[in-house]
Amino acid sequence: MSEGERVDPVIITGVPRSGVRLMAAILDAHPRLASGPDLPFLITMALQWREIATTLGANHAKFHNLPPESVREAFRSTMLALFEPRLRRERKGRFVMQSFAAMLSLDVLAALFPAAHFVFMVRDPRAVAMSLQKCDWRNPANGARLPYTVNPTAGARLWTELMQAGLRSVPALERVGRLHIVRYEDLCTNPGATLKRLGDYLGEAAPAAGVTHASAACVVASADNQHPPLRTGVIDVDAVDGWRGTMRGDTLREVTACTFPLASRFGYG
Amino acid sequence: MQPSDPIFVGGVPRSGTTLLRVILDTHPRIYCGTELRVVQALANLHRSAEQTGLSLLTSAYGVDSTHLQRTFAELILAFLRPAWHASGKPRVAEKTPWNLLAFPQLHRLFPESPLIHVIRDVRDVVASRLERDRIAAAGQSIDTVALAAQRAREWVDAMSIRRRILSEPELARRYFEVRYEALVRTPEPVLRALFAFLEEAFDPNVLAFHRTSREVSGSEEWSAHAVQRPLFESSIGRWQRDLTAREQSAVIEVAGRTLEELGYTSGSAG
Repeated sequence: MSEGERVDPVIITGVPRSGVRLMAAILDAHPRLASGPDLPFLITMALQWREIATTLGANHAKFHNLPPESVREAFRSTMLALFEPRLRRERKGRFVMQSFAAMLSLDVLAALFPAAHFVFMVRDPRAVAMSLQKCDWRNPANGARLPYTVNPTAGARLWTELMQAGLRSVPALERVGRLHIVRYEDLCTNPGATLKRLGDYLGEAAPAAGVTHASAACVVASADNQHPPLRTGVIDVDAVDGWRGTMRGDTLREVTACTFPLASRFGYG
Repeated sequence: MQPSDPIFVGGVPRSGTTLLRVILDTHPRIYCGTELRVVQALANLHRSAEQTGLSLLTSAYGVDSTHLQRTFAELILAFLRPAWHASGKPRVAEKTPWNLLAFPQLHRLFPESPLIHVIRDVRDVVASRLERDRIAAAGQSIDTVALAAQRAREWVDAMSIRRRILSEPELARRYFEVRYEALVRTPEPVLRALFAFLEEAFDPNVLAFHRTSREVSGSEEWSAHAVQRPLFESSIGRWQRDLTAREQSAVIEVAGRTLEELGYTSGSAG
């Protein structure tokens, strides 16, 4: 595959426990798409590109025959070149990048990959808050569990903060047809129609509604490998309303209060 | 050594790296433009990818360390190529002072690349950097004794890279030191040795580097003006007139041992 044929990626993002890995596994099973684990250094690279372009762009253009477009293309090609061996081996055409951190850098990634498609996963914050309680995520400095994995209200606050940060770039990308929002609940309860719409947005055949063992294994491996396991087979409908049986009383009121009104914007009341 | 293996030049700022840059650029076979200021960051990205992502890249994408190395080497070359190829010269050098800190990682990316370290007496380095610090302070009061100690500490930290390089034979094989004081006092033997290391013929014209007109306005190279005149020795030992006794003591306290390790005497420069 030559540089000119490198195709910009599909980028899936969302708050942790919103179905980002599930979507990556579904798309990985698509005959033209290949996904894999979350690779945080890709976001570091994208931010480094922006830093260089911002602080040194004029200098590079004047003294090094390097217009901004050349620098952008150098970074873009480098990142895409990392996925070529697999795309070539599996005869697939496009890399699917899953990244939670991409939520905070959507504008940078959109500029770096002008033809990228963004898939923004959204899930009921009450379900996210409860799902986070199953994650054994710890502070590497002291080994203590992270607050949002031991306190549902802290989980809800995390949802709100990340969504607010991510949504700063969403309207601009949505307006130009570069971002597609998928509600986790729609994916679980009505996968056929939801994935048909996604396929149309990506310009691809609709992805199959299910998770294969191979794709699950491929996307689950990650630098942070302490996510609960990804179920294979048909999409798990039980995960949609599971929070209702465990979140009650004051906790429910606190979680609802700190995610309002953002949650209602996505139909979560 | 292949023509595509860039020559990397580094050193603590105010050590004479710009002087060496224009000397290299005057050579008929080497292009060395103004500072790119990206090489250290790009080498760090490669290190980050190696340390945090390689096992996942290998298992999920079939990317091995060689593929990763070539990909990031290509990224650095993408920054160098346009101006280098426009120069028509067969070789390229990149000088940015803090390239020095990335020498070990650059060796992983370009195993055959020469790594040139310009070293200067820490007291003159600090005197020169304090001059810049005072300009940057724009009349605001600064604690120059504390700043002198901080600048000296940066110099000492940078020299720890030198120790690491010299302890690794394969890395040391590609490493060459240029002493600023020797370069300005006896340029020809120093440059003959340097070009021999680079496997290039010595060209006497490199000593007339100041006669070559260069567009440097806006490049933010601090020493751009100083390399538009012939070599001069007046900056050697400038610390004796430019640093106060307290500033000198602060520097020696932090860097005295390393200074002696490098063969400088504590009484006078060089």
